[in-house]
Amino acid sequence: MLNRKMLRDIKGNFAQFFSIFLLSLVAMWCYTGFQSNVIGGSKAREQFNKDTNFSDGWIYGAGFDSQSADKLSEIRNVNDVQLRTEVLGKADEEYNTAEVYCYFQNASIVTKPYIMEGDEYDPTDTEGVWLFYRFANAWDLKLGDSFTVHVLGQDIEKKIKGLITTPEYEFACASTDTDTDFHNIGCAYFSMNVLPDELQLYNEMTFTCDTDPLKLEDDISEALDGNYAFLADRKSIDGYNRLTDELAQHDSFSYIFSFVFVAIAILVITTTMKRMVAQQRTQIGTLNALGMKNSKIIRHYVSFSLVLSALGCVAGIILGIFTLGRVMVDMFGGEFYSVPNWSAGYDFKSIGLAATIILICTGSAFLSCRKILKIHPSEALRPAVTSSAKPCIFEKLPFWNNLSFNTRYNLRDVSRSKLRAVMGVFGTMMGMIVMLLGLGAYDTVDFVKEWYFSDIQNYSYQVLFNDNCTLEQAEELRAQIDGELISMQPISIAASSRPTSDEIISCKLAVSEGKGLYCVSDKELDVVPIEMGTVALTMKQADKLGIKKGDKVYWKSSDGNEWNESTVGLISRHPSITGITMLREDYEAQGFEFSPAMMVSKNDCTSAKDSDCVSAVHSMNDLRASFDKSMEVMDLLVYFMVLFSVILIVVVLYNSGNLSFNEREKELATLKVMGFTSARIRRLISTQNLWLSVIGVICGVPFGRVALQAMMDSNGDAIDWPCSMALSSYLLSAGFVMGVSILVGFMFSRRIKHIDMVGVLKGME
Amino acid sequence: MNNTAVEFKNVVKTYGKGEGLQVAVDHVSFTIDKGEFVVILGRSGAGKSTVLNMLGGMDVPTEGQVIVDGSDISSYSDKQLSLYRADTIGFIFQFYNLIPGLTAYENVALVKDIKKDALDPDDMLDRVGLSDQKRKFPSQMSGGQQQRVSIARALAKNPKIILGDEPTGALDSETGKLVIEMLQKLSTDEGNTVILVTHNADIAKCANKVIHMRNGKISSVRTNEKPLSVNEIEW
Repeated sequence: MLNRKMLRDIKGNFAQFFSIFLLSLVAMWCYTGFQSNVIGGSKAREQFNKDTNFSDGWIYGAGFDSQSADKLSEIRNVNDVQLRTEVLGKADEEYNTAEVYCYFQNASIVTKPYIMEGDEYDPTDTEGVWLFYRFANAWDLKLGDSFTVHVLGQDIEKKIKGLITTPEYEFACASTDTDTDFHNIGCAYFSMNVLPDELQLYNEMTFTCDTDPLKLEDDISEALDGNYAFLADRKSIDGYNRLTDELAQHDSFSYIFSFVFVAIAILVITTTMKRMVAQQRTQIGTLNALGMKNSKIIRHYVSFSLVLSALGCVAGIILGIFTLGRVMVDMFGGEFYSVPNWSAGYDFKSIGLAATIILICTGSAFLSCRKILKIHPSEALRPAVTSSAKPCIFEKLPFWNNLSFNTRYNLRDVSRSKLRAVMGVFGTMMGMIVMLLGLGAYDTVDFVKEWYFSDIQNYSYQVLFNDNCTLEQAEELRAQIDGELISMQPISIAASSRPTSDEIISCKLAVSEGKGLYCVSDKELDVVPIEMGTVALTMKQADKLGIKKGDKVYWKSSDGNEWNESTVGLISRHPSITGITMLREDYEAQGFEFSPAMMVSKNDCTSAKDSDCVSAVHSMNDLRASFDKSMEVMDLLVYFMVLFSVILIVVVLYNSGNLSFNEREKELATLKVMGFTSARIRRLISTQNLWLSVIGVICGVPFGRVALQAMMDSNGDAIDWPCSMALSSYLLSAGFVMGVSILVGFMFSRRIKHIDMVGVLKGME
Repeated sequence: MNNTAVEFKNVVKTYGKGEGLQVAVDHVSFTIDKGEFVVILGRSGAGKSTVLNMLGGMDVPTEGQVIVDGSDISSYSDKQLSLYRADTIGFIFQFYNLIPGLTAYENVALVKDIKKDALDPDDMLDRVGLSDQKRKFPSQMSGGQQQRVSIARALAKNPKIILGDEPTGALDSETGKLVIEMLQKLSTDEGNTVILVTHNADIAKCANKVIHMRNGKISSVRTNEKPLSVNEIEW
């Protein structure tokens, strides 16, 4: 019988109980959606790492041989060792002279290429090349096609025998791009025997081990007599670490979003159940008087939350897996990252969290009901004493007596129903934060686009040189068109001249001619010149190394053994990983040969396409369009944020208004009997909702910005996007919240119009 | 000059449809003069509260006319009824129906928000003998005090008609008598039309006119030539 009562009570308080269902659903929807991606991605990566025997450590240096490998393998905890030569090459001109990292090996033991299509990688096969499948797909290269790469002064043309990938290329981005464009980045595996004998020198050893590879540094140094440049672990491999950061970010999101919705659900449950048991006081007294045990009555009342939150969780899990989860996996696994067999994943954590949510919801219901159940049945059978009122804190205001009835009435009501007010403020604040996150993400993208493509890259055309381009040819072209030559190379940086491996960061060195076309910006994001004799170091890398302006920074190229010293004259900011930017004059003064990778110019460079030394010419419009395309993901993010925000705000404000209406129905009926019009009573209810919304909006503004910055920071050290929020986003979010608040007010119009003056005034309950 | 304050003309009020149709008021007709103190008597379910609700503009008749001060309020829109309640009617409820979040003074002063020419709340509270209780909230007052605030609130509107639905129903006999005395004076001294619904036949002895209702119909209408004062009746 009590189950029938439960169903009828749910029908009678449908809005509040549906909210509990909806909030549990959304909490699990967010969690399962994000986790589908995280779990699926992590499982696929685990298998990928296992299948490829992915390295735990990388030792860079020059002139490694089989003896070095043997010594390394003799170290305790080191398992497999692989010798290889890694060199950055350039694809043929018909492929935009894309960056192609070439690997030459005579065995395939560690980080074995994973075959997507074609033959297994054979390190003895001198006729074939195993090419990164994403690059091949971008250029429509098929098995059996010829592919030429220019590396170590050689033009190596081989037949494509396999399309491959490795965990080192889960994320891939060319040094000239801000985001992934597989036309410009690739990797290729060859047999070592492809190279002439004099070039068959290994510059890298990779190994697997049973411990943190950086902890083996002393043993490695001793085994190799210190003859190596540096030791790196997986965290230093950007192609691998970027996805680790992304998955960690999604993992955090899954908990943050579900926490927000569960917190609101608790407030809704507490207020709803408290009101319901207070309303059913005499019913509880009657059940007690009839001899029903308190435990059974408690079970009855907590069953509302139990059933609804359980149904919500189940629906949320199903929706999470089949909507958000699938979309995210398609987007991240299918477009941005290269991990084979990445599909939506699930584990028992979802069930664990669902159980926790159900427990929390049920617990909240129990705590809300138990007080009234402690009352003696004879007392419970009598109507409750009218809720006491006392002067509220606002009455101390000097202008209290001048306030309108509406204001005073609502201020007193807020004082009497603090929990409901907290729910209203917290809910709208969260809605505002989520809304700001979505719109702020858009603004940030726009801001970064302007900052990067207008301020930092103060040019109209970018001319990429091919691998054969000499300095003279580049300078000749510069003289013709007028521009600035830029070189880019991967380097390692440290804060001391003798760093240990965990004190080294991999990044890039950009060398410019200081003509104001390729710029750096300071911490305030203003473009500033680099002082002669100093270098600019990007902020995140400086912070990580503990370097300040005026300190020394040590750097070396990937094939160099010497640490070079430079003075940091500027802590700069750049949207993607950079590291050091220095002037050509200083670079050459340190004895290096300037080798430009591109020329940038304000003039039209399309004619440069015909030059022998040019591989591609990009206009700023092309670069912006490419950036916009890569940011399409943001649309999806914003849609979800807005959807969650709408659910949150509508649920919270409707519940707050509904509770307020139900609690005050008798008062409102009295006012109506006295001659208050329905519109005036609606305004009375809306006023409070509007106040709570305004406070929520105001509180949400700073937290929204903090949350957005935290979201941007969680992208890891490779990305430095200063968050930006346009005034229009604040206004739009605030307007949206207030609009919903006003609309919710109108949702009560019908109920106010049909308020049963006679019925409500007759009864005490 | 027309001295009729209220006229019910063949009023019917039904609830429900078909087999579930219930007739609450069945072809009721009566008149009440201005300044009269009228008691509508009857058992539970007799239809007396329905009559009062229609008169108060809280409910509308299914058939017939309710004419107040020459206007047929049965054809009023919701908005007109709100205005009618605000201007013409002063309500006194069984359970007082004060706003718990407002003090005694504010509950009375609330009327100023409804009617521009409302009377001074201080004067009204003085009239019901509560000038020293103005700052108290309803929960800090006795039932009798709360009902007096409710009367002060009704008076503050300076209404043509005061309606009371069992106004002594939740009070002890002494406090109840005090309330009836106050309402009787409003009729005799101030000229207000006062209409009370009650099942307490003793109160009827104080009224100018007594309307008996049974099963939704008027069973009798009796005029007291010499109404008793409250102190003369047994409760």
